[in-house]
Amino acid sequence: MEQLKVFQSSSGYFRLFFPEYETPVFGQKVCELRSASIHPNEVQECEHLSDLYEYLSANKYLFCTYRGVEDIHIVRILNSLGFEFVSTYKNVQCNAHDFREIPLNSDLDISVGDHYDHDKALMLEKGVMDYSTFQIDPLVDANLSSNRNVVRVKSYFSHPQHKMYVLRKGTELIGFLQFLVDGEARVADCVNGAIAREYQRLFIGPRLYSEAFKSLFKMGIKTIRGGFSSQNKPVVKLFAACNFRVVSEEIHLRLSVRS
Amino acid sequence: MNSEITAIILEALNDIESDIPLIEDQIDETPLYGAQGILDSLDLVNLIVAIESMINDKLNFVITLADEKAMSQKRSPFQSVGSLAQYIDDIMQEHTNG
Repeated sequence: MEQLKVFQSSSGYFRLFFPEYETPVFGQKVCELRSASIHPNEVQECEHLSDLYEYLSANKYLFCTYRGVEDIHIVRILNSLGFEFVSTYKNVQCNAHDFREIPLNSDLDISVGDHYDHDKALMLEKGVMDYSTFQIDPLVDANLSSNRNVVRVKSYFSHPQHKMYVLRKGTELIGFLQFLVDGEARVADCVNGAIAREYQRLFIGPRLYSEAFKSLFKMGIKTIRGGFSSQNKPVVKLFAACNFRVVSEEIHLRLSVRS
Repeated sequence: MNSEITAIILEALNDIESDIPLIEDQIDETPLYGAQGILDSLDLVNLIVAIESMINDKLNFVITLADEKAMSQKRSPFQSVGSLAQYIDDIMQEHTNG
């Protein structure tokens, strides 16, 4: 992710990042603004935060998303610049000895996915609401955010640490869960999960998540991490049921730029 | 048998502290899952675990509700108290007869 500029306000410094991979999805550039701990001596060039909108507009950005701590001073400054609240985002983790399996007796078989599942997983992802901060944001077109999810999911397939757990019914893929597994550090990041629409609110999600976590811990993973929007209530409850704890929270605010 | 099973479902619902409003003469229509249902997937898991355990204790019958058969039904057995009671009854009958 390319670092663009440093901005300053009475609440400190902010860095602007440019995730290049988003451009083909949105057809225009989008960027992220994050709080930054920078010593004033390190800053060679910086603009005032009040000039952010002008900069984004001149450089034809479509959206700018603030991701960072919930700080009332920062929120007020960003609100005054036109940023609107999207969601709070929770980062959670669970260590192997804390894990609690969901005690569901079931014959549903969870297995490790292979490349034959990739196309089906993309189709499935396109049809579900995944509560990403783009998808829950009414400012963002639903088709755009759905396509963006598909691109994101696809990008994980080629990642060397990618591991996917799947639940099939016959030849149909009805759920999958993606991880990036660092075998050396023995840490797994749960990066995406989806259950086909018609099977949601059944017992599929709890079964898939719990079995996948159990499998990862069984193969020697020490810590599993995850992150999700607080609005994704079923997943919040699911991680809590497996005894994950919240390790950090951030808020997402978004500025829509009209150039 | 069906009324016994319905009583178990209601007791299990009570155990998982679900806030489902029950109307006395329309208990069977009480929605669990679906458009009108208020259970999420984890509530449903808790309900299933509680029902399986109570059926084992009270009726001395080992049952698995979260299986591929339940998932494959044209009409979800978890839609209402009545449909779930009927589904459990069917499983038990099948087992007894067969």
